[in-house]
Formats: sequence, C-alpha cells, structure tokens
Amino acid sequence: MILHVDANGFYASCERLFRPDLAGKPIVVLSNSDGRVIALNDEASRRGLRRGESWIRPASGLDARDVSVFYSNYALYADIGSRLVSIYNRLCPDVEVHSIQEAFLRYPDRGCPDFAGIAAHLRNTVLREIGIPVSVGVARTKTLARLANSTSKTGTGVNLFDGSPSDSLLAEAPASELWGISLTASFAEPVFSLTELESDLAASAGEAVKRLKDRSGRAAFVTVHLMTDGLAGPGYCNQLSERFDAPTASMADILKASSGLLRRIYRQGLPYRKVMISLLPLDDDRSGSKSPGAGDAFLRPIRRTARRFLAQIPLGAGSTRPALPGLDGRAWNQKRRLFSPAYTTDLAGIPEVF
Amino acid sequence: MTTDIAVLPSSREREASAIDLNELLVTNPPATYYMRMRGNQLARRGILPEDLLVVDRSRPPVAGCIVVFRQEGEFTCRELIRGGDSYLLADDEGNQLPLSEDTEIFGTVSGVVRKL
Repeated sequence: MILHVDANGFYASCERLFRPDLAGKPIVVLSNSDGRVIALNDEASRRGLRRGESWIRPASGLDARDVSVFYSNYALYADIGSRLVSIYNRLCPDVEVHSIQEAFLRYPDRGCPDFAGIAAHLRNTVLREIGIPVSVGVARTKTLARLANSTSKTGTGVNLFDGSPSDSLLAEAPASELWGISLTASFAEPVFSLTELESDLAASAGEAVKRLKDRSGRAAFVTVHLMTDGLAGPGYCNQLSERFDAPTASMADILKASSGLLRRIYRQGLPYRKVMISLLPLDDDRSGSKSPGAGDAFLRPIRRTARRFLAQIPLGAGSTRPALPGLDGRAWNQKRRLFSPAYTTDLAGIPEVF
Repeated sequence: MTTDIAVLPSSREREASAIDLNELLVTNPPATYYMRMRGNQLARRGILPEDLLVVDRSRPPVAGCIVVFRQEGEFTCRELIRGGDSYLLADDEGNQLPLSEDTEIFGTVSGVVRKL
C-alpha cells in the first residue's frame, strides 16, 4: 500500500512555526523571483488568495489586511523538510521523496491491517515532533494516493482511496512532475563504519546525479539522512542539508557536499540501517526560469509592493516585532524585512523565549 | 603460560574523532529545536537570560519539566508543576498560570547551554 504525504502550504507552515503571534492569521509566501504567491495557509485561502497570484498586482477587491507576507526562506524550508523525511524513514522502510513537501511511503501489504491507523499515526507523529501539519492519502498506486490526498479533504488529514477511480477524477489530477530525487541504501546487516557508509552514500549519489542529468535538472539542495534500526534499542536518525551557491548537476560538487554532511551527522558506534540522499531544486525552478536577465525589472515592483504592504500590514521578520520602518528608508532594508531569520540553522536566528 | 596478543582496534574504535556534545544534548535530532532564553523568571531553576535552550518536541511534558509554550503571541518558558487535579506553569516569583486546553506547548526543554 502507498501513502502519499503532503505538507499542504508547507512554506506557510514553516513561517508560522516560530511565530506564535501569527496563530490563526493569514500567511502568504512569495517566490523570490517574481513575487507570486507560492504557498499560503488556510486562513489566507479563505480570504480568496490563491497560489500563483501576483502579489505585485493583486486582484482587485482582495482583502489583504493583516496578511503576513514572506519571501521564500529556503534555508528554513530545506531544514524542516529534511526533518519530515527523517520521521518518514523512522516509520516506514521504503520512502521516496517527491518534493520538499511531498513524499511516498510504501508499506508491504501482508494482508494488513489498518492503513488508516498507520496514516493517522504518521500524521500525529509529524505534527507532534516537528510541528508541521501534513495530510496523508492512502491507495494502491502512487497516482491514486496522490489523488486521494488532493481531491478528498476529510478534515482528518487522512484520505483513503478505495474503489476504482472514475475517469473524470483521473483527468483532473495534476500531472505528476517528479522533481525531487531520493535514493536510499539499506543494510540487512547493520553498518558501523563511516568509511562503509561513505562508499554506499557515494554510490547512491552517483545514481542520483545520473537521474538528475537524465532530466536535465539541477539540484539546489542536497540532504543526507542517516538512521539506525528504529525497532532495536534507542534509535538514532538525523539529517542535514546544504544549499549550493548555484544549482548544480556536478558529480564532484554533490559527492563532496554529501560526504561532508554525512561526516557531520555520523555518530560513532551505532548500528546503521539506512543512509539516504535527496536532491531538490528550488521551488521557483519548477516552472522554469522566467525571463532570465530581467531580475532587476522584477525587483523594482517587488520593492514597491513591499513598501505598500509594510504600510498596512504588521509584517514580521527578525527577532523583534518590527516597528514599521520609515517608509522613505532604503528599499533594500525593507525587502530584507520580508525574510524570516534562519530559525533552525543559524544561532543568530533562533527564536526567543521569555 | 600466557601470551599477550595485541588486538587491532575494531573499525568502530579507529574512527573516533572528537567528543561530540550533540550526543549528550540531542537525543532526537529531527524533533529538536534551539531557542534563546531572554527572560529572567527561571534563574533560580538554573536557567539564565541568554542561555541556549535545547527544546525536544518528542519528549512528553510531565510535572517537573521545563516547557516552552505559546502565550499572548510569544514563546514563554516555565516549569510544569502539579496543582491538585490540574497542571500549572510556574516561575521563580511564585506566579502560577493554569494549563488550559488552549495552552499550546511547543516542546520540553531537554538541555541548557551556557558559554562563560
């Protein structure tokens, strides 16, 4: 049976996680390249905001009061996304990462049981341990599992697909664009040695790069996951991501980065069962790069928008609630304010407690 | 007669590199976040302003734990204590906030790091 796990509005959920003041408020996240909405939470959807909508020229009649707007903070999303995958790996032997917010988990059937229960457990564990809501679709194939997740919203976050799909439903299903690549090396006998893990990781990395090149893709992030057998004793699983300065398909870059990440999360003397590598592009890349070279032309309206909304909206970023800046301040500073700090990957950005 | 045989260290021992404080402080990495203490309300409980808190969301909050929760739009850190039939969130000054159904506990503090 296949479980499709989707962290709906994932970027908005990440922005919300460390901002207790934004509970129950609408949040939108904009693409850094063209200022379109690429993620939003339910509260923002209820205001009529939609994915893909331009924030530079919002549709008229839009209720933008109190909407918190963020530019994409990929360091944060990559870190939280890789934590999700660690939990999936702990709970399921066979994980395939589809994108930063979607994954497929394959469970052997064995006449089992209660897949709704497994799905609910998965959802609850992710919510409790990471703080990000996910929904789970359950079906016999990847397409149907994804469909179950996208077409039926039961409100419980668990959607089972039983019966056969009607043609109309399948036609409506979004085309499946596989744009994340993940490869796992699993060991029947536990592996202790770093050297051995490194060579298995390198083999997976080689295959991942080959697949990346086959589809002429480039990776913006590489993540390494490492885990022991969750069932035997106190398990250990960890993950670490690195962002490339520029998206790359270079074997040398990816090998070097992945081996460096492995060394940082490796703990000596543990019985490892799995090492996994994932390559992910930037979300913006999905639609292809728009108007290359027009960066500046795009930035100008974004800055103007930033100024306009700063005047209306208690925008937040940084460690203190922002007092609204003088509007004649420099555009750059105002743009910076739309970026949240690296809450989880930089000591200077961690959340404050009182 | 006994013979001493020099045994080669196993591959796991040879790979020793350095002491890793993560092994001490972080038991469940995917569920662990770091936060900076800014308040002074837990000094007598050993948590000072500017301390780095290791917050583990997978560790169940039980009485006696230091927990981080959301209060009035901020993260707040207090000790969870028993108060009769219910739980209270207590600080050094004797303030005790009842734990209500709406209190959202972010995580349990599993470690404190302080640079001197």
